[in-house]
Amino acid sequence: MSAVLSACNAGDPGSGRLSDIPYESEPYPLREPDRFVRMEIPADNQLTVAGVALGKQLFFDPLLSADSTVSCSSCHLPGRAFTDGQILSRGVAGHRSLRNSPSLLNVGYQTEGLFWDGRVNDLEELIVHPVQDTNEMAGDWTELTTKLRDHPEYPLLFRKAFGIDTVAAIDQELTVRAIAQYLRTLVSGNSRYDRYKAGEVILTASEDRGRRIFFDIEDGVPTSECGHCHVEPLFSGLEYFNNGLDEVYDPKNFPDAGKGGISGRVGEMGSFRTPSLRNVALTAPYMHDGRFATLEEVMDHYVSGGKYSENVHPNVRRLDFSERDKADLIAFLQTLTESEFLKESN
Amino acid sequence: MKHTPLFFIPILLLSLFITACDQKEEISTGSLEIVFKGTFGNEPLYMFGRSYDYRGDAAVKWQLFQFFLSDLELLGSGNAVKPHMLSAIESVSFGDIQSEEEALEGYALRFNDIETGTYSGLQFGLGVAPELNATQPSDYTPSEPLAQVSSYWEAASSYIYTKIEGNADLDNDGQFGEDEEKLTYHLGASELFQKRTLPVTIDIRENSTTSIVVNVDLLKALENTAEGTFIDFRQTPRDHHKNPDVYNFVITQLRESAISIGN
Repeated sequence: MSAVLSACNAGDPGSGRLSDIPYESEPYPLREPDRFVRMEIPADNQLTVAGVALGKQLFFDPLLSADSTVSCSSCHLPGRAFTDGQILSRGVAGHRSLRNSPSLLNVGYQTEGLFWDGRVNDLEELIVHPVQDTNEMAGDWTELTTKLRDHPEYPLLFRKAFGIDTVAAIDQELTVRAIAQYLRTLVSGNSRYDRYKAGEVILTASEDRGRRIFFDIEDGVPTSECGHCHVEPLFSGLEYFNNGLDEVYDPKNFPDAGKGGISGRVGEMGSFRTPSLRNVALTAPYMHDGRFATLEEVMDHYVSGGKYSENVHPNVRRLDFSERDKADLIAFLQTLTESEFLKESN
Repeated sequence: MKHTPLFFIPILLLSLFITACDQKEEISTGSLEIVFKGTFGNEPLYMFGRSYDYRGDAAVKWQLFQFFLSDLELLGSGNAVKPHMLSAIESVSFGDIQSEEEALEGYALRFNDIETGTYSGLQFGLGVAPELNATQPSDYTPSEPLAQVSSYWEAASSYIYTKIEGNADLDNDGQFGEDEEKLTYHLGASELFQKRTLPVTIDIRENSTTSIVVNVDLLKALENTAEGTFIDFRQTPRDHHKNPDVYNFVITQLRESAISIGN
């Protein structure tokens, strides 16, 4: 009789013991584009099929927020390249985030800090913030852990993903690890432009002229300086710059200090991470504060040379562009959309 | 039984041979720290916070100065000390040096496991050696110098040997980086790669770290006072390796004049 009870309890989340449920350690087959620098994945959080599945479920689950109304995916919608189309995102109780929601595609390749201001260095650390940010999910990690432990399904998924023996082992660390695993699978490297690079498609005349403008490849088309900061293959050099959004004569007066607010360095005031332009046609509105509604407005900003402050990056300078030049450049940017990937993610 | 010893002789000899081969000669080693200290003329070089006079008729606030060094090698001394390759590639960047204190501290590279002895000089190639320049960032892991995508020109299939960026005040109005005052020089290609030797005595001592200072004078990368030639910010405020007059001059000056052994 006791043996029967023991066997029942061993795999029963209700009892707190999970040891009879199989631990699934099958590695996740991450497909990385050849042109990308290999993703650095922490040795203690290698991707597994079960870990990624758990992370995906958590990512889309509003349970993570204080009142179960907001999930990670509320501000990072797959159909919008993991942005949300809002100037500032809507969090719990109608609160608004302080900055525009950045795309999460290729976030696993961001080795030079995360968030617009580079305040954290790895995905595991990043995930802690939005869950507890009062303007976003307003959650509490202790309460969330309790909700996950009491959940009818999550203990089984945590066991499969991490091999934990008891429900009590579910904690913040395993939760962020699972979500980080899922985020590392959000790889976008098979756009129309990538297929062009592989010799599989031909760009239209307008797209190709836009490409040449973007990369300053040759004479006969105007110089855009785009490709210096939005570097292939991620279309971001992963660096932080002041791109001339605000006229500021005293570096202490930036409306948002960006990276300088984290580092305290004068030269970094008003600087933000260069966002990837992959899928940029889907990620409006643009800039850290969502001030530009369209790519045309972004184009007008850069053509103007931006506004004055001493630390504006010198590649942001007045450009001699015609309407045709702008249209061609936007046509090229639209080749960076990977719609098939986005359908899969949905 | 009497044949047994004979049977073991070849095995004994073989095991002695293997043992002898396994015994590596104990080599005493030490470490070397190379501290790169940037200057602009006689002034410590740091980014953003300070303006530097340029030829008496312009001022500039720098934002980035970086370059690659290839085949960084200690030169030997006669037969006694053999040359020692320190590194195939390193990136030296003053981009994060943003105060006078940091400028005086410099940018340090450290190398371990160097055979002890007295070396006679430091040799390097300015830029990325052609065989490495034929590679691309995806050939490296993220922490390696050549994994920096921002230092690679995909369209030209080349790394950018040096980046020099800043905002100038050319009209003496106290504002830096107005139109046509923005300076960017992104330069380098395999045909410009050459080596340079700096004669210097470097003593590597067992289990200790020897430190040497290498001065890098950005001003000397931009002007040659002996010949009266210089980069005219008004004429060529930028070059992305398209103007030979600019890239030949800067790369040559950087390699031959700007880098020297310091105190």
